[in-house]
Amino acid sequence: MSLQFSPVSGPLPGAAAASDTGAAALRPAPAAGHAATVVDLARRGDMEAFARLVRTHQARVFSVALRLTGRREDAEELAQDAFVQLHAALSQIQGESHLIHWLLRAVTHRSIDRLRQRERQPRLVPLDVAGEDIAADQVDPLSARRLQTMLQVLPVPARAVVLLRYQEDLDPPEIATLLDMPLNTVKSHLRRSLDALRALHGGHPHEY
Amino acid sequence: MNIEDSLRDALRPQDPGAQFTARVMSAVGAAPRRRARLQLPMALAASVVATAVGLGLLHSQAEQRRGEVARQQLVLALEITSEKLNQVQQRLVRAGNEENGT
Repeated sequence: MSLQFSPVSGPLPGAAAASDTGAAALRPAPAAGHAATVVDLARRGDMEAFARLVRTHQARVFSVALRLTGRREDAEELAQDAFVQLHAALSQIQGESHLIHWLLRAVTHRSIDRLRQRERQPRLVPLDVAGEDIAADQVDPLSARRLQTMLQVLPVPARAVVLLRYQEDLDPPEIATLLDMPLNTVKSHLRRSLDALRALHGGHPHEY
Repeated sequence: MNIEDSLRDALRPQDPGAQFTARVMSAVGAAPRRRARLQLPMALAASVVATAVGLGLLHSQAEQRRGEVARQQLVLALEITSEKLNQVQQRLVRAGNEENGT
């Protein structure tokens, strides 16, 4: 499955104008001031501080890898690699937002590369996504399970866009920067993916 | 719940567990350290400098030897010249004496 960028017809209706800034910076996580200090400590070689960064961000990194590759084993390996690479690149990290962007970019691109490698080989094992844990406070566990499975039906570029939009709450310009994808292509993937998921999943129509 | 809210609910991050953190820290600890990586180019640089200094010393010593040889050759040349000059002078003196009948 190749990453082909499709042409777009224009902005999605109802898209927030504020998000069309093209800015690469992400929204800061809660307690950004405290986390920035942890980044500084980790950059200076404090391994406990780095471990705290891992614990803070491992869920998002692992989940992106899992939902892109569909395999828990691959996801753990890719997520681990991303953090090992992060440790080697700490001197380049300028703060919490930059760290999050760096991690998401690293794990997304590595996961897509892994999928490309897998496409050259016959699929021998079933997807693990159906075995994803459902959180105890999930509003609609059955719906969640179905959506997680349906996500695997989307083409890889669209799947990455949907994940970054609805798992990480990134806006389209941020996704475009992270994926090195034209903004209009991101919006097109979102629009078509939502249409497809809506048709498969059912539910109320919603204008994006 | 509309599709977007359903997606946000379904795609909440899933934690891989405490063992994941431990594996990452173990892998980080096993990765080549930056200091070790720096030691190799530093060692190379040190050996290059040492070689350069050594070569410089050898060059200096060779030059000294060449200089000494040149000096010796000059001295020899001067000695030869001096001897020859003496010989010529002696002949001239002898010739002069013979003319004068002394």
